Amino acid sequence: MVHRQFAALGDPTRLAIVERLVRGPSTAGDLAAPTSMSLPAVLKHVRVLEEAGLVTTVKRGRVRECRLRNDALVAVAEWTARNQALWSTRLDALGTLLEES
Amino acid sequence: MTTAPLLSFDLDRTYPASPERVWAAWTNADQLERWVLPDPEWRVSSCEVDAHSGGGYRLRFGPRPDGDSYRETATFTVFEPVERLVFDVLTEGDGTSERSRCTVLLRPSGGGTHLELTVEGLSGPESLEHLRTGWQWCLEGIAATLEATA
Repeated sequence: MVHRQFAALGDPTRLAIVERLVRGPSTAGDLAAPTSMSLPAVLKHVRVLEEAGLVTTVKRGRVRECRLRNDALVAVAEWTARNQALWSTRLDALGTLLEES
Repeated sequence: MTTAPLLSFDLDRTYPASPERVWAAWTNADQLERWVLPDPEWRVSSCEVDAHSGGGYRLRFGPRPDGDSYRETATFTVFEPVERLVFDVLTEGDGTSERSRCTVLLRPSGGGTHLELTVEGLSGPESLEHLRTGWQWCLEGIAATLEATA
């Protein structure tokens, strides 16, 4: 799961969309407005974010509203916590080794 | 490809040892295997290091008695003794597979060494390339081992 999220967030455009959605829901049109992208191009990126479980979209009348899922970054946070614990343990053990020898 | 701060973290330590000794601890198998275990109850069943640019390390570790439920394969993409080591890691085991890039920077500090480690999550086509390099190296290693034992 985290790999799909990394792949989705690894693209600067999609990361910008997520950063925008952190501030609150937005219509696809509003996401496209400050960029030079067409609405279909934005929707394509939104779909990737949706498939990665980061974003949900709801059709409201004629516009599609995008919002960040509440649990969007849980897998990313878990990855960070797990890897941070791993490397922290290792660096401490390295310190012990260097003190011994 | 840009990397979001979200997908990376930094750690740092200062050790009472020279950069040469710290470098050696990362690049000699007999020293590396003494500190890479994520859990002191586990064991390393194999640890190999190919200490040059394009080389890397290969580890198997896990719970006793086998100590081989996890495989970690790293490729050294930057190898600048005793200052900078960058490696791409593939960790597999327990039904998961994960890729990351680690950057280790060493600099002398007050008679010791300051170490800074940055770990980034990897994804996308570039990791396929690394996977290929990693496996290529594994296969070469097998060939060399076979040659030596022939």
